[in-house]
Amino acid sequence: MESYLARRDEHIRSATPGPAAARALSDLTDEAVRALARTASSSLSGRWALMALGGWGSGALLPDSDLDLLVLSDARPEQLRPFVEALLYPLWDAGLHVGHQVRSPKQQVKAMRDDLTVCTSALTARPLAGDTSWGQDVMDRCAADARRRAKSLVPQLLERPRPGSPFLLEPDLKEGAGGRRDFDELVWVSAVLGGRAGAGLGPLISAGYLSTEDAEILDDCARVVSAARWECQRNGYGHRMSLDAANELESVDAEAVQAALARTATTLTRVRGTLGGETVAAPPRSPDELFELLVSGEGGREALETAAVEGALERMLPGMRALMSCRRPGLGHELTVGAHSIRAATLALHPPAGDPALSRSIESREDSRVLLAASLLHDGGKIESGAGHADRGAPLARDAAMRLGLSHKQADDVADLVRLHLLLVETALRDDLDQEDVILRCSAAIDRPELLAPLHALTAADSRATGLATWTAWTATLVDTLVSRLDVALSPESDGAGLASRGEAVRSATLELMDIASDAERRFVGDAPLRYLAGRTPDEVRRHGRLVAELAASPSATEVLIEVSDGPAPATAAVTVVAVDRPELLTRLSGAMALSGLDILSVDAYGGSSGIALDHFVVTSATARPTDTETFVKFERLARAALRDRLELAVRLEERRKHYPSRAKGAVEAKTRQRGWATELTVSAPDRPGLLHDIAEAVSANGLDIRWARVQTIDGIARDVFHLSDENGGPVDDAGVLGHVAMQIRAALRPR
Amino acid sequence: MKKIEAIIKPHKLDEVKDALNALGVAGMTVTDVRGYGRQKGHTEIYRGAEYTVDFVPKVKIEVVVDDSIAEPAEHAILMAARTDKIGDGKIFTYDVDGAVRIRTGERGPEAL
Repeated sequence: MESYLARRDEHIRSATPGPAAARALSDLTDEAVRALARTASSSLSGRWALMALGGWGSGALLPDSDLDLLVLSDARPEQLRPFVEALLYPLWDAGLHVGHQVRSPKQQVKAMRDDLTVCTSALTARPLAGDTSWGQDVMDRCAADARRRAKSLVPQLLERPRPGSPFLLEPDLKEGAGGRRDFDELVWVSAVLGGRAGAGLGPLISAGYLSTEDAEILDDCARVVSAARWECQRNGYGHRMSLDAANELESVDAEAVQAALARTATTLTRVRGTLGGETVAAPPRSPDELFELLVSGEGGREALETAAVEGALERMLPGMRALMSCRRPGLGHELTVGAHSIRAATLALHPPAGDPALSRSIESREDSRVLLAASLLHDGGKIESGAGHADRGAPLARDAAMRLGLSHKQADDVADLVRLHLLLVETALRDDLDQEDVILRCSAAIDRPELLAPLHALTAADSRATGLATWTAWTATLVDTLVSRLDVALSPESDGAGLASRGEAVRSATLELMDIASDAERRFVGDAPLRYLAGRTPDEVRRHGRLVAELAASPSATEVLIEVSDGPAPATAAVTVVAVDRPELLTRLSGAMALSGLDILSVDAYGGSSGIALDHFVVTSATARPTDTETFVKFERLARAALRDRLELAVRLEERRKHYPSRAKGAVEAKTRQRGWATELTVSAPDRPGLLHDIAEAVSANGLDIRWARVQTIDGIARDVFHLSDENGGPVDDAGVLGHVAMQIRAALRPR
Repeated sequence: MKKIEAIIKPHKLDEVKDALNALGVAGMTVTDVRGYGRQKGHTEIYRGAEYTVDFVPKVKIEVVVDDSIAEPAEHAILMAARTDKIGDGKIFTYDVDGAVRIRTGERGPEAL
């Protein structure tokens, strides 16, 4: 045994992986076991034969394979015991895994009838020692018996579970779908049909279940899988080709292994269908048939996988066969690229239960074919390795969509969806969805509102097809929240995409203008909200940046810096006020404006991320006296006084209203609603002195803050929009507080 | 030794990880969790229909550190995870009685 073990170890270590190595290990083991049997049988009377079963019987012994032995004999048990012990103890002592059975010929026939595992292991039996012709004769009789029972036996063989998928990136090369057992099953069925143990695939070919070409392909596949199994086993990876094994074992061509597993699995599936009398689904021959299978969901998946592996989709989708074995592990992917894509496409129209937002996106899609094609083609760019597969895949997807009969417009939509397919999940998981700019930028990337619903559906399908752990309730909640906010941002009313594009353009142009600028100025421009930038010129932003930088250099809660320039219309002025952000800032500034004799025509108010707020007013004189330097000096003085709590704003405004009663008439309306990422307050009321002050005061009195405001006065009616936040800067969820704010505003603005 | 458990906003994970790495805290356990504190849930409106998000997605970070860096680690998480908004999360600190590195059998701070 010692010599055998040494030669075995050396062979395992040095052999080139493949069927020849497995055959040589079988031969080596045959020789050792025969020698043991010769010694052990010296005192045995009666007929006996030693048979190798299973993989060993097939002459395909691998480093981790068990030695499955059958002792056939018509001797009595007490005569057999010393022989069996003398045979097995040395093997056990050598640390080999031995599976043994001891039976008479009659018992063997019965055991094969009673136990499917005994039956299958014997269908590849090979005589090793003893009376080999008698042993072969017994096994032939067993096989003939199996053939007589073929009608009941074959269906049992075809019911064998096939765990996993041949497209798994960490496939089980032995028991998993497409692995050794799939090949074995074909050999077993062949042996039963032919009534001959170890008959190979010949009887299956003769019976018309398998073509000669298929058999040759299967043999090639078995060779590839056998070589990979040998290499994995001798390096301690066992039966599974783990990601580590695929990366570290240079001699394992992992994509060739995937292709072999896939081809073996699809062939067995087809043979199973034919033997079982089932109608085997024909591969789709036209785009209509392809889309029909995709619409059917999970039920159509296997037929599509088979068609892709066997090349039947190449005319419509060139390169699909290569993708079926293309391995791009990462980000939780469990399947090859092609199998993942087919899975995504068959899931795309079938949302999981309990996700109402996703269901609405799928129901509201305008075009199923665009969504299905994008799902099927979204990872086409992975045929090349490296980052940027979404961008690479977009033009490929457009060409493929045209080949599938889609119009130019549909093909463009498919390409856009493919290009954007990572956007929602990456934004939802990495960015703060309460930040307006995050939503605006995302909406600018999507640009077209009609893409949002199919992009949501594609995102979910892609994630669900990636792996079990990828699309969880956790991820779904974040993506759904992002989608609902994008729905608002992309609406014509919000024009978030336009806002973001304009804002970014102003930011770039401003930065180009800033040849000489301090870090603080550059920081202001870099951090400025898109909504602010979109409404300003680059020159304005540059000037505002200087003001903010000046105050930031020595911030004081009671200081204001103002800049006055010509307004957008005759007799108007633009007043930019920069101050340290604080509660009631807008209340105080707007009160000071009113007391200075200024009517506020519009204001854009922004709370800056650096703690400095910037409010941009467009004002006009509230009287016939034109505004002049003195007006703004007065405003600056009153604003400072208001910030130092040295101005009774409410009292002074009430006095002013007595002298300047409002002549405009109209109803007062104040409404609040949630608008995606913001809590929006809209107020419509006849204009009068201190109107903005009163609204801002009602907001502040309820512990809320104005994050952004747009005030406009047209024909004496103010139509104001505010984005409110709570004391922590988030959207206001308390309906009671919002109701109270609206009520107070209505009461404050009611004509007296 | 102390165990620091922090519940933070998902988009803050990388910043917190970097801040802890900078302190020499190399290992951490990260779990996707959902829950609510004072933040409660929130309501979203999508395509005209309202739906409520009862449990808000968060990330839970667990690190076990030597007593000497427990406070800096807690501070690092605090600074990195803070957005000054509701829902920024919580940090809990516990005493840890023992730790064993299973592979080597090392115990106590050496096992961290």
